[in-house]
Amino acid sequence: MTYIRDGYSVRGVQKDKSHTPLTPAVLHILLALSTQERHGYGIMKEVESDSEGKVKMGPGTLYGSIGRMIDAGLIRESDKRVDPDIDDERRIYYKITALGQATLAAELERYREVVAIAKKKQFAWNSLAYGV
Amino acid sequence: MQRYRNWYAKLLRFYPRAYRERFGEGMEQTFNDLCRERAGGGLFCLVLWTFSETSAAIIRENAIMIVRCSMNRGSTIFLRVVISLIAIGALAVCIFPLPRMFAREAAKTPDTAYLVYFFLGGAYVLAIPFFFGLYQTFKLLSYIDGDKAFTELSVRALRHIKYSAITAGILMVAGIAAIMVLSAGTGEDIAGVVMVGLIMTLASSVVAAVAAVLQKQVQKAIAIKSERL
Repeated sequence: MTYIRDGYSVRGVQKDKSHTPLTPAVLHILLALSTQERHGYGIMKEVESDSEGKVKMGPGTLYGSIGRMIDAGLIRESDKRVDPDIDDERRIYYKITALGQATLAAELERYREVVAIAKKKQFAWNSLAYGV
Repeated sequence: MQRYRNWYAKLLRFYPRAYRERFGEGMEQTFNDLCRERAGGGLFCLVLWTFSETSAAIIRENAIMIVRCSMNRGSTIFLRVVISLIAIGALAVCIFPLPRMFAREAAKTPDTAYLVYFFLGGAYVLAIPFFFGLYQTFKLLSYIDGDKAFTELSVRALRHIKYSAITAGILMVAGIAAIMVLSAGTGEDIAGVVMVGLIMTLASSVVAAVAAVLQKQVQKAIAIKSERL
């Protein structure tokens, strides 16, 4: 099944709202893992570059979230292998699951709906200047 | 850099064992990667930030684990018994030996007996935040047993514990200051009293700090729970 809307498509994924809304950390980790498997440091770097340095995640938050996400079935450990770009130590790679993809899709859909509501209300960023 | 790595490995020992076995190695590797990335400059700032971030996470994970364990076994009973014993002991001290001790002091120096009774009053005022704090701790434990650990109720109890510890600390400092001012020039030896006061002030500051950190972490855990992850 292909899910297409507003130019956004996720192949083979159904929405799963049982875990939404997600915390920012969980959302960013899911986004980082949506394209490929990564190890802890790789996730951290991807989140940092995705958010242009705005989101900085420490190891405590990262692995705390990873633990809860594994327990919830959103991601899983893939395997332990060497990252040739770093050194010859073997690292555990994490992989997004089908449930994780579905949850990410549902969360992004939720965000889109929120933005659509804001647009409908003709919310302008400069209205913040009036203390809104 | 090796020194920082060793310190970080030591810090990770404070995680619950199951968590450490699951993620300890990965966290150490990630920390090493971060250090390597910053080897050129800013390493110290990174280390400081990572240590404080990880310490906060350690407190959070331990709190979650304690609550999970106690929900399974109702193991707060032991802590509740300890708190009850402390309360009973303190109450007994307040009722019997404390007034007797002050009365003996007052008898020694009849001219300044009113000052002795002033401090006795101060001690009873100090007992108010102390017992209030104990009561709130008792309440917090019953919330943990009743599966209400990560709710606004325990945040409130922690806030009350924090404020009573701060109040006790302020009263203690005021008492020490009063003793120092009153004994100035009299040549009395007040080192012992001041020492006890300072230790108790330190203890209440530690309680206030721990309650403040726990309050913040419980609030965070509530956020995580309400967002399901």
